[in-house]
Amino acid sequence: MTDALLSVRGIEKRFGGLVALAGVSMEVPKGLVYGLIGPNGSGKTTLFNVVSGFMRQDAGTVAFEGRDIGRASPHRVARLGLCRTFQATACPTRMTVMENMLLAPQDQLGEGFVNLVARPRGVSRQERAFRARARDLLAIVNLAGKADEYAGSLSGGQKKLLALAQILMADPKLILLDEPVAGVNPVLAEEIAAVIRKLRDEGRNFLIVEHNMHFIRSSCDRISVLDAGRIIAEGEPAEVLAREEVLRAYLAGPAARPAA
Amino acid sequence: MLQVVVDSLIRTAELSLLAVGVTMTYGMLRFANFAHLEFAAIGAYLALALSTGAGLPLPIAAAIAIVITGFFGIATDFVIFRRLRKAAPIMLMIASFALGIVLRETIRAIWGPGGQSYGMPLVRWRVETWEARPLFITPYQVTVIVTAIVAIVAFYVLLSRTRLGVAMRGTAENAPLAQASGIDTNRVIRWVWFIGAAFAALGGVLVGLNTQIKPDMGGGLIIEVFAAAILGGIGNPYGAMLGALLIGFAENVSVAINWGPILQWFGFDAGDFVFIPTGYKAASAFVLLILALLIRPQGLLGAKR
Amino acid sequence: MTGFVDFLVYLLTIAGIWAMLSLSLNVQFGLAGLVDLGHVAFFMLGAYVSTILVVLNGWDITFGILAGGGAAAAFGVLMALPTARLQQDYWAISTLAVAEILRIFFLNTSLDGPNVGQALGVSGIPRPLRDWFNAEGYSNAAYGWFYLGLVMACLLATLVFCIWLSRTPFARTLKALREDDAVPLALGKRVSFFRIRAMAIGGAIGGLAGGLFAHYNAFIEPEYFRPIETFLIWAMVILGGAGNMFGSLVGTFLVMALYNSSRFVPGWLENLFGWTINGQVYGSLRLIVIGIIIILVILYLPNGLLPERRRRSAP
Repeated sequence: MTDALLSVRGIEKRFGGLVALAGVSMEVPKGLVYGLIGPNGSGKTTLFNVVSGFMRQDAGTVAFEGRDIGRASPHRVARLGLCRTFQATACPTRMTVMENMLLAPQDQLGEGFVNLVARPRGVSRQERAFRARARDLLAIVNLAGKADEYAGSLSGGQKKLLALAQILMADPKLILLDEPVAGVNPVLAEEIAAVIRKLRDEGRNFLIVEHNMHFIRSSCDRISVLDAGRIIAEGEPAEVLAREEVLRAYLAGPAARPAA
Repeated sequence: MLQVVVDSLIRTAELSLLAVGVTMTYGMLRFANFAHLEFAAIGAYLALALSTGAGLPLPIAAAIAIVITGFFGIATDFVIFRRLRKAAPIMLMIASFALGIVLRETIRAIWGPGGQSYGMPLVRWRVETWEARPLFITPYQVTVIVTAIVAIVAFYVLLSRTRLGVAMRGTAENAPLAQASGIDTNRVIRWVWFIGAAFAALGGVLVGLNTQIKPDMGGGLIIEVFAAAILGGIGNPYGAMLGALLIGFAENVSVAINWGPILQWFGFDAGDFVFIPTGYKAASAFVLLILALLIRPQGLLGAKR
Repeated sequence: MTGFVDFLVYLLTIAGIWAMLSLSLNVQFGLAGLVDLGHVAFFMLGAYVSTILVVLNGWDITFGILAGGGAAAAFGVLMALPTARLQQDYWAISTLAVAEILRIFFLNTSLDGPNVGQALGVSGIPRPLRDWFNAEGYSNAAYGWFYLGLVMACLLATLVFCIWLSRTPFARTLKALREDDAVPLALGKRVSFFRIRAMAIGGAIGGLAGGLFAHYNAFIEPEYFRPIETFLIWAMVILGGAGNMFGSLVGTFLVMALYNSSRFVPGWLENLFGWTINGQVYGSLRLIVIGIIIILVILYLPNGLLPERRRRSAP
């Protein structure tokens, strides 16, 4: 295998007669913020769902760090270090922001009864460490003052930030963000872009689906364009976004394309 | 064996009338209404009050009772469920469970716990068939089956041939879209409550005609009816009828046949004669429900979500 | 007056057992969001398993009760297995069916020995230390106090356990499952394993309550374990506040008070106002009142009397 972090080969996915993904192949190398764009209904979220194990593809393979995850369940994928956020599904609303953060780490001692009973000190030491890290991350996304609020009481933009902080708390190798700045004001969006770039410099990898082109330009190192279930372009954001076929895909909209 | 078929058909008729309302409410409002079964008891007792109490002929009493129960269905939505449209479906389910108990116990408090009847004369026809044992059938059993078939045909016509039916299917499919295309979804929802409750009331009257009127005549069928609705794919009225058919036959056939040879065929030798005790009749519906849920969670006619 | 005190002791003992049941449902529903409409199955299984082992197999009562709890926990695991495949409401309906199947099973199964089983139930279930109390010449009332103490000790232990549990990281992950599986799954949680454990814990507590009940009442029959009992447990949890363990105690107290008021209120009404009320009608009336209270709570007080406490993060 190449040194690609995530490698997707020939993914096909149909819903009844509708073809959502018609043979998608792409590679996400290490050390980059990788963008995935495309018009509405082009299959971006479906691809995310397949990669993260929430949907099963009809054909094709998914490999993460050279390991086949094409048939793995969502929690297995997450445990291998590939975590995602959701476009619409919010973090649990009847838990506080801090509880949401503490939910994220994997392999918590306190999730098993043997450790709860046999190693209560170990559990509370780990809890303290998680709490400290959660505070740092919440400070980065400007939610430190909201730690004890219910997640359900946050604004739409703050919920996006919480989802981002939560996923960082899980400490994955590759982070899949589904529309991280949709419905977020421009100032906050720029802050999120800055946070993502900073985290990239610290060695994190991102794959981002987003409609906000400004955000894509300012945060992504490389992008792929998905249209009607196929990758139609790939490369540097500025260069790709100027290509004619990309513009045409965006302008035409789903109705003008052949039945897909 | 014919007797088993007749018994199964009667059961099917009763269960489908009850299950249609359950499945429509679910399709429209996405919650399992446990109180729905009580509409059957309400209809049966109202018909009782109007016939033996007020002296009306039973068909007229039943018709009035069915209409009143239909409006009562709308009233339950108005007082309780409409206020919970945005709540979690689970809360609606628990509220409906509570409402069911309130209704059942109200009936019990008013009419007493004992079984009652419409006081129709006892008639039993003896029908000689090709089988050695004659078939016993009552005119009420015939009424049950015929009425249920008429009601279901009427329901089919309503759903497929009328504007209301189209609006109902549209709202169940996609409520926001239906609303956007000019359908008054609140009106449709009222109709669903009316029709569902009226069908249940009809089912209740028929059960009462055939057997007994008891406070738990509806609530006691809760699992059978939900099993029918789920088996057929919840939200699909025709599926509910198919489910009712399966449950109706499963209950009667499971206790009527000799399982000995069947078990032997599968390699278990439990003797030549193995019968399931009739006490387990109700359990067979429940077991079928659980098996169906495990094997095909979306139901027989249900689409995968 | 002694009759009245004895009756109160009896009532508190029964209420203590029900409080354990409502705590066990609160673990399943309040913490994990599992809509278990067949909760009485655990109570039934605990009561029957312990009875069968003690009466027919001659086990020691303590081991019988523990085995009843274990069997109920195993049953909880079984019930939790389909959660991975079923929609929440389908699963809820199937739990209702499972509890009824179990009841029909006991209704149709005859037990050997002097105790017939089936609809007639099982009588003559031994009571712990009863012989010793008799031999020492203590009264029935003293034994009542002893059993009340036993039940209260078990309740206290259950309460402490449930409160401790609700503060663990384990319960935090359970709470995340109440709303949607997507986020916990994406964070790498094995959601079905968490649900299985929540059902097993709730089941075990419910089973222990069943054993305590069987060896107190000395008689059990399938009629004791109808779906209406599950509804009463739900009423306690919803009224008290799902997710709040003290709420379960308050809910149990109120529901039990209403439910058992039939023994006092008709007499008071007659003495004070000269109203006579049929016992049968009052039996229905108390359930109507409980049902209406539940509906009102869901409409106007969806978090119950004692809402779940918000967990503050320690500085």
